[in-house]
Amino acid sequence: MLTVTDVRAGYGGVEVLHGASVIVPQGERLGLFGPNGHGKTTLLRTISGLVRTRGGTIEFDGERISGMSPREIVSRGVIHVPQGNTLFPQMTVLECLMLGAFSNRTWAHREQSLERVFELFPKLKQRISQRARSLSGGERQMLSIGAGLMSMPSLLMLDEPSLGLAPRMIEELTEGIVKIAESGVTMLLVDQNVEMLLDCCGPLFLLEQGLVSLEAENGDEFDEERLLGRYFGTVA
Amino acid sequence: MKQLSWRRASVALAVILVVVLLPLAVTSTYYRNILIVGLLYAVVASSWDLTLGYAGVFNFAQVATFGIGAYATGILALRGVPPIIAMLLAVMLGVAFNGLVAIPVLRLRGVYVALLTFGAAQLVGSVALGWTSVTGGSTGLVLVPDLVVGQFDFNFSPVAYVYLSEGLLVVTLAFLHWLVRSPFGLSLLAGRDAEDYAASRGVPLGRQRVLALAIGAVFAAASGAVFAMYLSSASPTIFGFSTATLVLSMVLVGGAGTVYGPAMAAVILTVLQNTRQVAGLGPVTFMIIAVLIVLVLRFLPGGLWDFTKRGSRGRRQVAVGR
Amino acid sequence: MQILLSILIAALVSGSLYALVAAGLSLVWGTLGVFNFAQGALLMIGAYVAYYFGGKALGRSGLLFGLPTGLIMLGLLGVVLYFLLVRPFVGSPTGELSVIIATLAASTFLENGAQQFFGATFRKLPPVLTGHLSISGNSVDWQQVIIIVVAPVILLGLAAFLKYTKTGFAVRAVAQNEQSALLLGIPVSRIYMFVFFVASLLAALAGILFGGQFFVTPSMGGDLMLQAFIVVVFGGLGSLTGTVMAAYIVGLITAASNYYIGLFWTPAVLFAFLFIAVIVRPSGLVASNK
Repeated sequence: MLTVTDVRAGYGGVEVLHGASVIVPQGERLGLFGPNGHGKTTLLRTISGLVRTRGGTIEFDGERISGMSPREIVSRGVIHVPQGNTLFPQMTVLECLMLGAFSNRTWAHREQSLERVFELFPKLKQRISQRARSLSGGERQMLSIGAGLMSMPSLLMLDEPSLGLAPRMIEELTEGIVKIAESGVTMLLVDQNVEMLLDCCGPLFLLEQGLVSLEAENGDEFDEERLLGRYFGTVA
Repeated sequence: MKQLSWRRASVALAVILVVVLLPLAVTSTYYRNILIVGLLYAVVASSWDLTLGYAGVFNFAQVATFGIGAYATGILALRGVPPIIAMLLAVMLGVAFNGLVAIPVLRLRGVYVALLTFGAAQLVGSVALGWTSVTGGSTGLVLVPDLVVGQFDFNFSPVAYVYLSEGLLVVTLAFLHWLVRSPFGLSLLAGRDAEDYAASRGVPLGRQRVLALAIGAVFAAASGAVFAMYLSSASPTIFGFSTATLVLSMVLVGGAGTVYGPAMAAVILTVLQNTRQVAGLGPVTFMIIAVLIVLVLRFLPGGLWDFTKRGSRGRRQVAVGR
Repeated sequence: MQILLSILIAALVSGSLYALVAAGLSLVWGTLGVFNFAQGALLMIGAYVAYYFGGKALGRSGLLFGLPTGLIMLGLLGVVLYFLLVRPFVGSPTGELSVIIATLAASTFLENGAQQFFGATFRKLPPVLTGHLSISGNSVDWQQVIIIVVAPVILLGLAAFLKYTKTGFAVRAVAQNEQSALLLGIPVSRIYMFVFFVASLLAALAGILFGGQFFVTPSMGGDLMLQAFIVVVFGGLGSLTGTVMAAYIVGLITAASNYYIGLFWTPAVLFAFLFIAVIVRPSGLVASNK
């Protein structure tokens, strides 16, 4: 579904991605992990159009999206939920979610989308008229993902959803993510929490030094150990 | 290394020759006038760059300080104060004004500083227009006494004013050249580019910015003082929007964040502005300047200085539109 | 009593005009994060366009044509300014200063252009309603009443628009978090254009009303901008309510100072007021700045 080929990208004089390549097949839940500063967030931002590619291509559903504006990319169903986000601090939960359905394609279906989000994250329904900034970290994360869902994605990309969350929250989140994927949404998860990725994702990739290295099929024990060993330096 | 000092020495020699010989070479009164005005604006522009370009303070009161220097000198001289003393007092007044403005400026950031300094400049302008008994209102000051040092009357020998303006500019540029390489100068850059980090490393941002404002004020006011003495008058148009835009364009076109850029642009722009074709255009002149400013911002953010230097060194100068 | 009433009227008139101008500034600041120095110039051009298209016939029919023309042309001019002077710089590290200088240059351009085209003589625009009425002994121009009534109505309309329409919703979203808005498919660029359009409309309206009560001259924008500066530094740019409140307060101070201290010293009084306000309360009236 999504094909990233040899992409180079960066900020100003600094190039962060040096030719990263990854393929996200339709219906899969792909996990991407790696040390900080090595390009995970940049990769997502390049895919969603916030950062321009300096080399290489990105294709979605056979169409070339590298070079398109973020709005055009969103209208094709590629939704990026950025990391650590307060969304719209002074808007209520309901308003934030409604904004998620803003584009013409999704506005007509907003009531249905809303119901689905509330089914997934009942806590949000409880807090429906509360302002975003008054929510706890975990709830804000759910809200961000919920808003992303309101855009009716075919591909949902989450950037560090587990950041700053307590383990119990992470469990809840993981359950939600799995349910989302089960409803037919292809997912690309970027996170530092490898355990969480192992729990909810299929194939795993390591992004290091702006390049994707190492792939592992989940469940393949030998690869898992290799992956963890590569990442942590030793195998526990 | 030896090659470098040869280049440096020959440049220095050329500069000295120009400084000494140019006033004697320019014999036409018309061009001498343009030269003097250009040099004085160069002082204002380059000292403006200290706060605007280096310290990153959105200071828009510089030209008003120039005006204060001019008016204070004129007012005092008209009341019998010896010219040199008048000029010194005018400089002190200019610094005091900037010091006063610095107090709220330190508590504000970014655009609010621009608004406040702009407002302060307009305020001084309206005082100059309104306090007719002291400032002469819309006519301004006239018949300001000559600048007399000992037996020498500057106003009888216009060449003297050229040397004086040159001298002021040389002092200004030399001082700025030294200042920006000093720890103080570097701390200004640090405060501009990475405010929080600089603060966390112990840079006293507030104090540095006040100092930058004060230093800039010294030169601007001094230039204004000479200006008033030379013209034997002072007009409220000094405080006008148009003058400020003109000097701002000198800073930008020359290259904000460079020492010599604004000075260079000041002289060039003054000459251009006063050629017979352009001088007759009236308001259109300022429209052209406005367009020039926007073009520079868009396409040549480092200014002319950066443009000329890029070839020889390949290293981008610090500039407004990085 | 009579004096107080006339000061109050003057205060409300000034405050209303400042509020219109400052609201435009606040709107642009809230969404784009830039300050439009050319707002005053836009105001002035609006007045001149109305004057020009209203024909030399200074009757009510003149304004009927001049007013909408002035508004629409200004809206378009605002959008042009956005594309030329703001859009290229938004997002760059020195964008804030660049936009300040670029819009300042635009202001110079427009002011001198007006001077070149129309000359510096004072003109007058027809007031919306001529004549005056008497309120407890004071003669109050109908135009003054119009200004006092129209401004709050427009501003309330603006607030309602922001709160209840889909576009207003988007504007508020962009003001709070541009990146999220972009990633959710909100047309951020179009919102920017729209905001500039509205801000220019507000400026034009203020200019036309001002011109009908006072005068039309190339530097009228600059004078009003000075008061607008004080309003936004005092009230903060981040909140529309704070800005409007500050506008009326500054209007009151201006009127009182004009009467008791004198016209020429009012700028100094305002500045002193601002000075103190900044030292005592640097974050502005309603503490919600960007």
